[in-house]
Amino acid sequence: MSDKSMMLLKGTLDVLILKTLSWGPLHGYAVSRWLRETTEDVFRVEEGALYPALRRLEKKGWLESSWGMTETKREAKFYSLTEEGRRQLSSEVNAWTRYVEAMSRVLYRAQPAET
Amino acid sequence: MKPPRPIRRVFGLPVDVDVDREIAFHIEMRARELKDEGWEAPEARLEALRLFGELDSVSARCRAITRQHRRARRRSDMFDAFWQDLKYGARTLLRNPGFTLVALSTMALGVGATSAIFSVVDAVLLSPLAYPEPERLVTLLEVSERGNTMRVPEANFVDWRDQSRSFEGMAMYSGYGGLTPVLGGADPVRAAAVPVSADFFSVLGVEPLVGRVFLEEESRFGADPAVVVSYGFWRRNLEGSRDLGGRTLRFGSRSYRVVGVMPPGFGFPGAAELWYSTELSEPNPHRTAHNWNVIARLARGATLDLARSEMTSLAARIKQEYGDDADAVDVRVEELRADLVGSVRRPLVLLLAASGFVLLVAATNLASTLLARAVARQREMAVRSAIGAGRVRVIRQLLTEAVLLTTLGGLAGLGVAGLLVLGLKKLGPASLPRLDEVAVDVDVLLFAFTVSIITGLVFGLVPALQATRTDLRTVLSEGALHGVKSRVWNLLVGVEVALATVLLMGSGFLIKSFWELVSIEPGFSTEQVLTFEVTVPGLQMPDEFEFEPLRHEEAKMAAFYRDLFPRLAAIPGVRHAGLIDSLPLDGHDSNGAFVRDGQDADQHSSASYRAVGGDYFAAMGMPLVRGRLFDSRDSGGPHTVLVNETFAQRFFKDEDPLGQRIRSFGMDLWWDEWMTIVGVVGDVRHRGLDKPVSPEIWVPVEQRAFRARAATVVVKADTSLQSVATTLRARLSEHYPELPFDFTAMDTIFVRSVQRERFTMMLLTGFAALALLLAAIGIYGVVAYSVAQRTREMGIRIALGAGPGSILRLMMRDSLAVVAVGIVVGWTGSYALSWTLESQLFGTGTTDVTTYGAVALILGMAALGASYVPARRSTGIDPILAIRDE
Repeated sequence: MSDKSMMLLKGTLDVLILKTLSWGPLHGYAVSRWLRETTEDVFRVEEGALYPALRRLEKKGWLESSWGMTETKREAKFYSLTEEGRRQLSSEVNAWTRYVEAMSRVLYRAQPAET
Repeated sequence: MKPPRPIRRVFGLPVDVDVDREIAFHIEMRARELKDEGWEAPEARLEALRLFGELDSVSARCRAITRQHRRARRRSDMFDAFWQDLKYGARTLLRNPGFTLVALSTMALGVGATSAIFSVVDAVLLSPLAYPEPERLVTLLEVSERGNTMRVPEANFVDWRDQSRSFEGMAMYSGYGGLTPVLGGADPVRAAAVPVSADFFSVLGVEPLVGRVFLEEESRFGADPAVVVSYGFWRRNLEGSRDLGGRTLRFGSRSYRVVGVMPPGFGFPGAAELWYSTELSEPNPHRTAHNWNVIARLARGATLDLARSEMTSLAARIKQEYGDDADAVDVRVEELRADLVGSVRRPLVLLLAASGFVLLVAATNLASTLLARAVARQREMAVRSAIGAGRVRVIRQLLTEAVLLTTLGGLAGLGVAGLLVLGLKKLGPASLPRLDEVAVDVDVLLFAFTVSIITGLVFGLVPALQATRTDLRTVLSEGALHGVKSRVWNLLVGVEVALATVLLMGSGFLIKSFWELVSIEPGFSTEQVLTFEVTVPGLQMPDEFEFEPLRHEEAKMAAFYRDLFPRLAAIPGVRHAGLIDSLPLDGHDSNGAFVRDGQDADQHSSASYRAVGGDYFAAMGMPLVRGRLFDSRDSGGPHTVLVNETFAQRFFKDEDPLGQRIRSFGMDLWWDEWMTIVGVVGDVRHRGLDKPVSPEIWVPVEQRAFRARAATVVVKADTSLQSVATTLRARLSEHYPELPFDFTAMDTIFVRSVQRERFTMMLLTGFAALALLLAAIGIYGVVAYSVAQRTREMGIRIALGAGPGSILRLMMRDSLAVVAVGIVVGWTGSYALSWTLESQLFGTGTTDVTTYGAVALILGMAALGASYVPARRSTGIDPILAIRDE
């Protein structure tokens, strides 16, 4: 892992996966590629770490999986978001937004006036 | 991105394949991407692998997660299906409250009966004794040359205890369970006082609740007497005070300091309340004085066999050493539990089997009802099948319903069992050990549930298989089936009838046997007879057997009775009053040797020996056969004696016994005194209604009061026993304030003596009646169902001119034929099982033809009634409606 990249916060990968799948079913490789491209390699993880995460989320009931055909007529395992997964994502996004807002208010605020 | 075209698989891919393929796909795609970026083929693949990371660990984690996931899902799927079945089953049961109620009560009765008996068996036969390591507790008895078991002489016990190595400890106690008057508590009471040797409590492994047991110096001749009391005695008579200091109890001829209280529930042997040291009396050196019961605790590692062989050689050594002075040739060592429950095992096992039969009848009934319902629901099942439920799924649904039904029934059955147990405790014979420990406990709960669930599975399976066997399309297109299941049904009804027959036969034999038993003339009348025990107060019995001081005490006894009888006679309501040292049917007997005039002592014979006083024979309604009864002539003068008819016949045959002289020894204080026979009285079944009459000798207390230190007064009353008892208590307490008085009607003693037979008979009869009822319900159900099924056919027959008689015959013919077959099978079965009953029967055999006939008649009538009622309905069918229907 290069020193420029950030350590992936615990649980963050889960949110990213959920977000990635929110546009539609994808197989694992597509998820991994999507993550790589959209985050521009800021979060460097070993690519294999994605797969246990996918299965963990499936076990939690947030994802469903089934084998299907890719556009290139190859068999791949596709994951899609369940209703529960969708709810989970939106609550994670809300929490994240509140967190960022709160942090921003602190970090970008001018020094308070003396009273 | 276009949604992928899903690939359908019936089952998911095996986990390994699923994981491997997914990873392989990733590597391949990644390598291709790298190649597009300009990597060479082999390097691209290596780079893809590197980027992937630890392939083995990733794949292992994936497998583990997915395996867990699949397992959890399977479980929850199964649970969901079960829950669904359960809800559906419950709804169906609620929709048919009539059916449900009948099925539930059927099961409740079956499970209830079985569980109640099981609770008794559990407490009496299966539960361990309430002593630590009870399997190490044994009893020891001596064996005579003729193979009879005898109690143990003290001298032999001491040798055993000191010389044997197989035992950790050995103790002796007295076996006689008589009650002794006890003073020093709140009121004078009668209590069971048992002399026990030093290690008695430690052998049993019980610790006192309060205070202590005997100290070593208290367990020897001449020591300061000490007594240990039972918990009940302590609570009732010593106010349950933990401060025992200075409390003394007076009984027998001594005063005892109370030193300890045993924990609740401890009353060994029997229902003992007071324990005192046997060592207080002078040791008895005679090796033929068979007075003691012996218990012992096996040493760690010692087996029963080891102990047996050691005791056998020990007995041989004693016999060799003492020759004719010792009469035991062997020792019998048995487990204490076997000894306690010995004679009740058989009837209990018999009753448990009988209750199992009732359960079987109930379960068969349930199966036939379930079958009827399953057939009626075939359309519904067909529909469920058509919308995708497999046969297995439908069977599972039906089984769930059956088990739900039996489990609920079993739950209700526990209630029934609770009630039955209450009744059993009231009814149960006092001779049934540990009856007070019987309870519907966890064991019984588990038993009832296991039985219920197994019953549901087994007896629900047959109807479920039957109902789902037919081609469902036929059902849907043609409507209800006709007669398809009749064979299964007939089988079920036949089985029920056969089982009921076996139970009825068993109870028939027992009823007959009981009837024979109570029809036996006991030789006395129990009518209006009241009894109570007295113990002569103020005696100073010496510790050693010396004639002179003992005769002095005997004179006090005679004086006491001389005073008592006129007082009794003067009490209003008393017609006759008499006294005997041991009451008939009370479980006690005393036997002694005697010789006739002109015989040597070694030509002796043996007879029962009893002391009587007052108008005993008149009070008991016993006839005088020849000669005279005792009167004032017998108070002084030459000793006289009465004998019974059996005695006269056995020992005098054609001679006239009157005026003959006999001499008895070992029984009291007058070994040298000849007694002249002055009369012959009727025979009495002293030892039990089913026991033969023994030859008896009766001596007057006026001359020989020695045996009547403690005796039973018998009063023939003119007025109600209740009022006579009240008057007696009031009047007698005035004169004898230190004597306790407990009254028992002679009727009660009579009933108590046949209590065990009555108990077995009543329970088995109850079970048989239950089985009969259930079988009748079964027959009714089947006929009613077949009437409903054949409405159309009957309509046609009526339209063609069949009369009500022929319709009835037609409807009942089949079921009655099945019943007849069932009865014959039941007869055969009961004949095959008759050996189990033989030992319980008296005066009748298991080949008694009238019982066979009576059972067939009862079952036949029940079957006739049960099939007539529903069959009659078919004669009222309106042919037009019946044919148009459907």
